[in-house]
Amino acid sequence: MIAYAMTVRRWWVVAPTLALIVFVCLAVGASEVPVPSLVGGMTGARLDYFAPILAVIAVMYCMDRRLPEPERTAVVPVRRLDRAAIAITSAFALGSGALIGMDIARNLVLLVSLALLVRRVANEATAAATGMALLVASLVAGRAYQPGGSTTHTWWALPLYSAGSVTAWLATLCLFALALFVSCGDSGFSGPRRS
Amino acid sequence: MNLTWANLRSSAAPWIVLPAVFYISLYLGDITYSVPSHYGVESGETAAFAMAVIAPAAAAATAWEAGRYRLIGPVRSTSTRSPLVRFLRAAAPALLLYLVLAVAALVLARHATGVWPGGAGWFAVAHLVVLPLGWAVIGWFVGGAVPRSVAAPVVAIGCWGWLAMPHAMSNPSLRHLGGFIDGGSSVTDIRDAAVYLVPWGVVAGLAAAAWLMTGANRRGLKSTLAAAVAAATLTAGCLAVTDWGYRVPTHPRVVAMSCTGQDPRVCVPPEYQPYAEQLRKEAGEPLNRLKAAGVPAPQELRISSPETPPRAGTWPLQWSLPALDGPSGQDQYKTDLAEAAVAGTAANAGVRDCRQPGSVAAAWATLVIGADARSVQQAVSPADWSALQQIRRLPAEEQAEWFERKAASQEHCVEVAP
Repeated sequence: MIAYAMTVRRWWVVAPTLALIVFVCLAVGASEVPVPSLVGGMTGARLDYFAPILAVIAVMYCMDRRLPEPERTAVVPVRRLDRAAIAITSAFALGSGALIGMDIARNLVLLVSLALLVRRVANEATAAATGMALLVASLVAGRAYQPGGSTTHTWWALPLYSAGSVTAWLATLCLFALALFVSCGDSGFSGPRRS
Repeated sequence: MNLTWANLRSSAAPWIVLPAVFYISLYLGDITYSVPSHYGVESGETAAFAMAVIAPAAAAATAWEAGRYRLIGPVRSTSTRSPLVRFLRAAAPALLLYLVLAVAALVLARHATGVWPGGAGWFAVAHLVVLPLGWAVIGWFVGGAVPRSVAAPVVAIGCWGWLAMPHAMSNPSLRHLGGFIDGGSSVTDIRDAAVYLVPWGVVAGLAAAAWLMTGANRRGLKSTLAAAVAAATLTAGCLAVTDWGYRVPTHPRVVAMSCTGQDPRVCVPPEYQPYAEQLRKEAGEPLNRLKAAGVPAPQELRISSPETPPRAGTWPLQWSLPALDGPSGQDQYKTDLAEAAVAGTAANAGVRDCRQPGSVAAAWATLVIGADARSVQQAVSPADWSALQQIRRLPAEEQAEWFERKAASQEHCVEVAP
């Protein structure tokens, strides 16, 4: 099983990816990139807000590397292997939250869960793009302003919630559980369809 | 045809269309400041702004298609069709996505400016077509060599980074190489062709480097050659743009002006013709007041390029269309006329005006014309305001002489960073 995880899936790429995310957040995380906003004008978004996408790319890369026929007819529970790997990835990501901020770590788990769910019905690239679209949509339409002028967020813009928000953590946890439960099999477009 | 339709149905490219069009509409809405200008060049350049979204999307989609194309294995290398035909067939969904997004950009630009691209605007439309195509080719080569679930996001992020990030850096040359062009043409000045040709050359060089890097024998000679080609492309690009500074080079537009009225005659570019009569009427009283204060009236008010020196008796007018969120108020035109007075007076004295707003002479002229004194006071420094108050107490002839001296002295001109 371990050999399968390392050779076929290459789950070991998660470690350097998390290291890269930590490096990017610490080195250039404070730099801003311009993003248009629905409330008007170009606003800035920090680079570390987008860093979790790297983890999504790594997880999708691993999930894309599979041997469909042996896996479907295997006695060994391959899905359990994938679920365990994703759980370990999320644990490491939350651990790295001590360095990069718990809100970035929570967003990472959120985006991976969303990507796994989208991958179930589409392919890996769409899954990664959906995560990116959620990040961008939260910036574009999810930033609101309180009467006092300070920025806040709309209720659906989960990536914008602060690190201490219980609601966001609960929502992320639910999504993560759902993703582990229903996905980790074949992606939506691979192999002949079972009609 | 059947093959392409089946390819399109199983492809992931159509998923990107709606989010990309939404993002493009936000981008283009963000750069539209005024009422529709009916200016063909501005229409083309507004559409070309969407290239920042289309190029990453096309590159990512093509990289993904290249990854799917790899699944057919040995058929790739034993096909009788040429590589170009194979690329077109395999990447058809990505190219179709790119076509749909380009058409959407043109339609949104038409909505923003009121007219389809025309004249030099076609060059910008060509830019909208060529640059994403170059990045699609780069995406094709990268997707053929690197696993597709890594290639697609990496190419998209890399392309977007190369286009957008240099604009936030202090290095002035790098931003001109990407192709995401800051600063549009105005009704009086058009971007030079080199502004488009340099990014085309750079993306062609990068595509050649990607082709070499990801070819059959990736090791050794080809990798070194690819690195050399990329380095040479970037160096040549930087050399070509060293004297551009932060802004893109422009040249004055050659067009038949539409003129109306007499004393003063108002000459405007054809796009502003609906506003010409209104400009002439509203200039009447301010010019009379200036004449009463001792500043000779002009024979012509002309909206022309800052690079063309005005003729004697002509005041160059700097005027812009009303803003989208409502007219900017009467005082804006009074300020414009005051600046025109400074430039025209300097020209009469034989001095080439630097056309920078905010001089004390212009503030004096604005007060004479009758603008709100409070807003003028807010616009100048306290020292300048007190000097202005002293000048206003002098007799009229001395004030007029002071104005001519100040306009010709060009003291308000600051050295602009190139």
